[in-house]
Order: sequence, then structure tokens, then C-alpha cells
Amino acid sequence: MARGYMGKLLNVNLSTGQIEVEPLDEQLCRDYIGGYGLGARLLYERIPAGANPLGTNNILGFLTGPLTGTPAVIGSRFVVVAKSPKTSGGWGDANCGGYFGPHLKFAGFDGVLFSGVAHKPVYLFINEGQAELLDASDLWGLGVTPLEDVLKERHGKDVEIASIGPAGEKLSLTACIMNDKERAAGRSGLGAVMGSKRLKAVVVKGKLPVPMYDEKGIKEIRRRLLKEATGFFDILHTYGTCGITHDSALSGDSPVKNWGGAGTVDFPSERAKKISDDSVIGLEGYKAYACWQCPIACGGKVKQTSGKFALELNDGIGHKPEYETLCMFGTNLLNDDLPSIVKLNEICNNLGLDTISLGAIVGYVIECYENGLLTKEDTDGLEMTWGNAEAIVALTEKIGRREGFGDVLADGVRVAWKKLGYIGTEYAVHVDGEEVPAHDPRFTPGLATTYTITATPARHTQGGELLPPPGLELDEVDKYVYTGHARNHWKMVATMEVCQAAGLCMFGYLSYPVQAIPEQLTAVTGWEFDLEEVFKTGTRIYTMRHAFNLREGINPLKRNVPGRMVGEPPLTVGNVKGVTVDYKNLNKEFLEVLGWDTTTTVPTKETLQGLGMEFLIEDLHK
Amino acid sequence: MRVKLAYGREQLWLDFPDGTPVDVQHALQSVRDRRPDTYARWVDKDGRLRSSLNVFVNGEHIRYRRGLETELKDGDEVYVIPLVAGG
Repeated sequence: MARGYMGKLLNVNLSTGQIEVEPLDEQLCRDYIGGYGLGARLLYERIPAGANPLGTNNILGFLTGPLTGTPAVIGSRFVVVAKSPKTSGGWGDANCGGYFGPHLKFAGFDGVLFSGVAHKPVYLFINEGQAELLDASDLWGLGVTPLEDVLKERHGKDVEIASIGPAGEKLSLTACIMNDKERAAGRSGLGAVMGSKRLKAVVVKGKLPVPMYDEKGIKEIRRRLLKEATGFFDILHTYGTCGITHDSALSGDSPVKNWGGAGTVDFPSERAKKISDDSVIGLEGYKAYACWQCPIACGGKVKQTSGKFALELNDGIGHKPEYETLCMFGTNLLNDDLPSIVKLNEICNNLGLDTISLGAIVGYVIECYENGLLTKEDTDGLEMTWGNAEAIVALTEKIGRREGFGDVLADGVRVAWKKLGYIGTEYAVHVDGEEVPAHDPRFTPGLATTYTITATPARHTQGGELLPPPGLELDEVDKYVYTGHARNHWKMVATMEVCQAAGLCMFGYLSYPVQAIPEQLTAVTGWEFDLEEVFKTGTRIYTMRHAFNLREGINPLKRNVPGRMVGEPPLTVGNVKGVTVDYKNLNKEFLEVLGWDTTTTVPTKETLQGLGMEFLIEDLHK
Repeated sequence: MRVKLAYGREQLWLDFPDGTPVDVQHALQSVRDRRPDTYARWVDKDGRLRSSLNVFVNGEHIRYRRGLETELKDGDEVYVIPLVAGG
């Protein structure tokens, strides 16, 4: 087995309670690296087409990459994969930092695949190679924070935990899988998949070493890289992502007023400053937080023990809200009350909710309410007006607990829009069920391709023009000329795929020279990687995730595209006024570069052969 | 005249002789000597300012003015916005 891997997967059948160790297939690792890549390859084989995402045939995987838990910069990540209940039964994935990923490897496994459905609530405890399912009946209903306290009390302070809160238990499609209390694998509705399996938590413990091909070499690379920090290191190190909130709100990058407003008009500088950079790290008790072995330490904790939004958990200490949370609950709702956003962060983390989705849902409700499509009678008496921080907090809690009107909203904007009788269609900003994150394609048009074509729609972390890594050679193209972007887009998407499959953090990708990705992979695994190989492997992973969707009958060109996301009609004020993104041409040129049919999106036989994916030809070219 | 230029958390005050016309391109190029690392992020491999730079004058994108040729006056604030995604 190549280095970097523990060489073992754990298969847990929750229906029967059977636990089996499976040796990792070395060739699959070479071709798909790990994480999303390996997950998509394995789940394509193991989940039957048409399976119910919340049924026994779905498989929920927790997977690491070969650089997870190694000195590589920054090897802190794990991913969660499954068929998504949120995006039309397509491919689902989410990834997360914190401490769980490295410790899953230290406990002896590269990943765990859960099949079946348990008869009663359970959790999996892995103690250095030994795994057992334990009764979680007494833990069902607990929030993430008290749950972690109980499990650490029970199994020791040196365990790491991935879990769901009440939202996941109640099968909310906006539910996350959490670790280290407040880090979220947030998207694709995977918390609901975990809840459907009656799996409350995965607890890992161990100190096993990760084998490395050239341990001295990877340590030397790390030492060198730490001195070569560039790109976004400074801003991330100082502020985390809250450092960009003000500028993004004004530039047109952030959604304002549920994507219908403009920062310069509706949320001007003096308001944006209240939820950005120095205001956030100026909160009481601010202390930086780092994921496992991370030199950037973009996270942080703050204390909020008084006022109407006092935190109730962890002695009033919670993670500071990051950019997506600040925008989706801030600029998007015209809410400049920072303590309320700190509180919303606590609620979402404890109940296990995706803050992007929640901010979008509340935005939809407010716009419907402001336009008379909803009244207090519908909203359980809440006055859902722009910037009403108390109402926003109250509604979010209701959604997380599926209480009253919250139950209507708990599965996201698309389901809510249907349940409410298709009201406010233009206010329901989602792509195929996934709420759009806080980066606007009218400001970064390449994002329209990322949001619409990627296997998991409406995801800002799936590569593309928003995320150019330092040192990647790209063509100089005017972002508002909608041709000639495709090769750039492809390079960035493919590189991001490998970054995430390897177990690296996206913020390392943005803060260190891109050459570090193949260099570190080579040092840890012993396989030769260069950037060309990264592009090819990343394309294979991208294609594998797409193939999962194709087999489910999903053609990304048929996904809904919210008009507001692409400027149809364009805004008349602000810094993206007049912009209408010709996403159709951007997408068409991208599909041509990939070698996919520009109507069906099926990769050509030649494309599949070139990627060594002949096994897909029979399925996709029937 | 004096112009404020901000890039991420870096802030510079740029002084130019009164009466001299100064445009955005001129202001950005004046950063070259004082902050070569910063300036390097703004230019392509041939040393030209990237057309994709997100530059704002007093909160308005230069696209809506005269691009890099947008003229500056005393007290103007120029923002070059670094983008980064995050959750």
C-alpha cells in the first residue's frame, strides 16, 4: 500500500450491526486520491441507482485523504459523502476541518462507510483499530455542544467527534454534520442522511502513526512552505474570513437583501463595518482558533455573556461567525446587529444547521413577508421584516427544531417554496435545491459555472474563478467578456478537486504556492505528481462525481438558475449594476474543454478512455 | 494631493504633487516601490496591471468610471479588493 494511507476502510452495516474491515484498493487511491474522489468511485459502485437518499440503500461515508494527519500544509480535512436528499437525489458531499479527520486516521482508518439503518439510535466508537456500535438512545435529542461534553466525559478528553444535532435527527435537509462542536460539514443535506440512519455520532480515538514515504522530506517542505506564505495568508491569519465582509458587501460580491439589493445602497460602509473584520475580532474575549496543525488559524472564539443575545453554551464562549454566516444572516437580511449573528452561529452549530441555507431561507421568508405574501398568521406571530434581529434569531431556532412555521422551512428554500404554494418564486434563490452561498456570480461570473455545472450545485468551495491559487498560470481574461474562460476554470476546478481529495484545506491552497500540492502528495505517498497529473486526476474526480448524477438522470444544464444570481434582470444600482452573466456560453465552453457533450453533458467515450474511466462507458453510453 | 489606498488590511497614503493629474493606474504603480510584494499580485507576468483587478474609487467600481484611467482628486479612497471565499 502506498504511504499516506492507513490502508483500511471500515464498513458498518447499521441494519445488522455488522462491522467489517476492508483493505483499501491501492489503484483506486492512485486514481482518485481519497476524500470526494475515492468516495464518489466507491459509492457509484455500492449505491444502486434510484436509491432513496434517506433509505437503507444509501451509504454515508466519512473519508480522509493521504495528506490528512500528516505534516502537509494544511492536512486537517475530512469529507462526508452520500447520495444527497437535497439536490434531486444527486451526488452529495461536504468537507470540514477541525480535529476529527486526522484522528480518524490515528484511530486506524482512512474512512468509514455506513450502510443500512439502525433499529435504534447508535454511535460508533473507534478506539485504535477496534470499532463498536454503542447505544445512543440517551443521547438522541442532545445538541452538538452538550453531546460532545457527554461523549468526552464518557470516552476521554482525547476523543474527537463528528455528530448531528436535533436538526439532523429530524431529517432536516438543511442539517450539517459537525465536529469540534462548531465546525460544520455543512452542505448537501448530509446531516439528514446521518439522522435517517439513526447514527448520532462517530467517536474516534488513537495515536497510530500515518505512514509516510519521505517523512523527513515532507517535514522539510512544511518548514519551507511556512516561510513562503503568500496570497490570502495575511488576511486569513489576522481575521479569518470575516476580514473580507465589508469589502465584499460593497463590491457586489456579497448577496444583499436576498440578492435583490446592492451594498452601496442598502448596506453601506457604516453598516457593513459593524459585521466585519475589526468589529468581529474586537468582540469580547476574542482568541484565535486553529484546526489541527494549522499555521493560518483563521477561526476564533468570542465571549458573549450579556445582552439579549447572550450565548448559553460553553460558558458563553462560541466560535466567531465567518464570512458566509456574516453575510447570509447579515448583508442578506440587512441585519447589522453583530451580537445577533454570534447568537445565530451558536444556534446553528448546536442544532447542526447550515448557516448558508438558514440565511437564505430567512431571506426568502422576509421578502415574502415584506411583500404581503406571508403574514404574522403564517409566521407564528413573528414580524419578519428586514434587519429584525430578534425575529431572525427566533425563526432560526424554530427551523432548527422543526417547530411551528419552522417545520415548513426546515428542508430549505425549494421545499418551503413548494409547501407555501409556490409564492415568491424570484425570492427563492437556490440551484436544484441548494441555497446559493454568499459570493455573487454577477461579481465573479465564473461562479455561475461553478454553481450550475458542478456535481453539487451552488457551492463556492468547488473551485473556479473565485479561488485562484497563488502561482497557477492562467490566461488573462476580462471577467465580463463571456468567452475564453474555460481553460482557466478547468485548471482551477481540477486543482481544487485534488486539494480536497488529498485532505488539504482550501485556505492553504489560497495561501501557499500551488506547486505545494503535487510536491506534498509525492513526498507523502511516493507517487510522482506534477501539476499536469493534478489536472488529470482532478478531472477524473470531477467526472466521477458527475457520473453519479448522470446515472440518476440529472443533467446540470436543466437545473434551475435563479435570475437574481446571474442578473436576469440586472441590478440598476451598486457595483454590479447592469451585469447579466452569459452563463450559458461560459458553461458551453467549459463542457467543450472537459470533452463532455454540450447538450447531454455525457463525457464522450474518448474523454472517458483518456481518463482511464472505461468502466463508465457502458452505463453512460447505453 | 493625498489619496488613500487600501488593499486588504494594508493601507497606504499616497502623496502626489498638487496640480499633477493622477489616475488610478498611476496610483497603483506608485505602490510598486513601497510594497513590491503587494504590487506583484496586481500585475501579470509581463508586468501589466491585470484587467481583472477589482478596484473601487470611493466605493464605486472603476468599471463605471474610466477604468484605470479614472482620475483621482485629493481625499479619494482607492480600494483594491482581494477576494477570498470562506464558510
